[in-house]
Amino acid sequence: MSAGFVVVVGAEHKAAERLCRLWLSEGWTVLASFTGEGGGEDRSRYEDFGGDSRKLHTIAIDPRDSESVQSLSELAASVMERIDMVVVAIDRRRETRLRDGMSCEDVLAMYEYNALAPLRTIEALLPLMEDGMKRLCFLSDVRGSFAAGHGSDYAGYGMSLAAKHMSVKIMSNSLGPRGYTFRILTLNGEREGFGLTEEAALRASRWLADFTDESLLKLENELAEPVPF
Amino acid sequence: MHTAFVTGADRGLGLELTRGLLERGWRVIAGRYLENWHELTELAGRHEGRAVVVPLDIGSDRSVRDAANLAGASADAIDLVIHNAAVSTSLKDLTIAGGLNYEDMIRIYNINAIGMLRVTEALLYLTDAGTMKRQCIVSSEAGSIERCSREAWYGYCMSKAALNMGAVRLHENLHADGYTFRLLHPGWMKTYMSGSKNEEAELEADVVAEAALRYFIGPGEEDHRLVMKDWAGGEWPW
Repeated sequence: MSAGFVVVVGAEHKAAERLCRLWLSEGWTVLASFTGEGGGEDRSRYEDFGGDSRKLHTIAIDPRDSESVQSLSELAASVMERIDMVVVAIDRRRETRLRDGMSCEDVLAMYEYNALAPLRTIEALLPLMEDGMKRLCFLSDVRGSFAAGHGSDYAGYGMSLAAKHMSVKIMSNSLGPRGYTFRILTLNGEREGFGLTEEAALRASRWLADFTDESLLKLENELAEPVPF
Repeated sequence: MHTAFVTGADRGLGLELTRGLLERGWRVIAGRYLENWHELTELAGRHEGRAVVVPLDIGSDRSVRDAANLAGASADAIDLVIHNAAVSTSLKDLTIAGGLNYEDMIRIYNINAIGMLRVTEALLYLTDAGTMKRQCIVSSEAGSIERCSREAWYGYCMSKAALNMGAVRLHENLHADGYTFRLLHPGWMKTYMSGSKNEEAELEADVVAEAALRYFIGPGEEDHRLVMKDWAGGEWPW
């Protein structure tokens, strides 16, 4: 697998940070975009990544704001000759306990972050992907799978992930004929480090960026097991 | 006598479900969104004493709380809730390459996905007191991720997939308390989802309502395993 150009949106995500570090070490050009409230603190963790620092670029954005997302696109255009892969790792999670005073505001916020923000960023970055390897990747959570047997305290979170998965399916239908391929990596946010061991992170980094696999849409967990919607 | 609460009872499927329940001898608390649409008022007038109409916008926390209070004033318990209210959009055909309308997608989600959570929570004190504890959700094939072949319709499909997930998680949450769920894809009906009656569609609302009520009211495997079924009894994948 040769190095390419990747934009990671939601680089504050622990698993995303690990993937960025791996890709950077393999010579990729990485644009890490922070979408969390701890933007400054998140970016400082990337300063000791090593590798070629000229290949690491960072920016903090509000993924719910189109102008802010546009600034990401402008930076990408200035530091990359193309985008081969976009990895969306934005993740906002709140409990939704029906009998303990559920916040519909929280449920809607999770939809805006987890389901709509990926669409906003991809919409802005698509024009820069036309000359690249056209890979769109999403970090998700096991509680977004209908088959998962747990998650009842996270109904709103699971709903936002189901919405995200649906949007990925629709995108695959419309962009697939143009050569785009899609990967969803499903992790378990209840486990330390999202259950991503060093070995699993390396495997995931290679799976996400394996452009020789032209399958349209794949959904797997960190153990490389297929995950049903 | 059993009591049901129906959202979006103004017209179309919601109106026919309300009619069917009343004809079966149920008491019905019917949520009305359209102030100037009179079919529901006329129907309620023909079943005085058993039909209560309450203003209801499932997209509004306050409206849902007020409707639940009115429901509590007219009934000590609710046995069955039919989450029927939903909206569509004229912006369905926008694509990601051409640009999506995020405000519209937020509006749709707030109603189609979160509305069901709002109503369930607000009525919990009444449904907990009911004997049947049945939650019925009118969804759509548009929420089936596996079967989705659409290249647009983002907002609507995302809202229905989320609605289905909400149903699954509520089922996990409430099953131990005796609740059962029914999740329905009603088919392509001649209803008013787009604002005017869709005469090109296949199914009349009263035909679907009759099939739906048999599914909603009766026992079945769905008491133990939540699935989405269509009006003809076919199962749909998530």
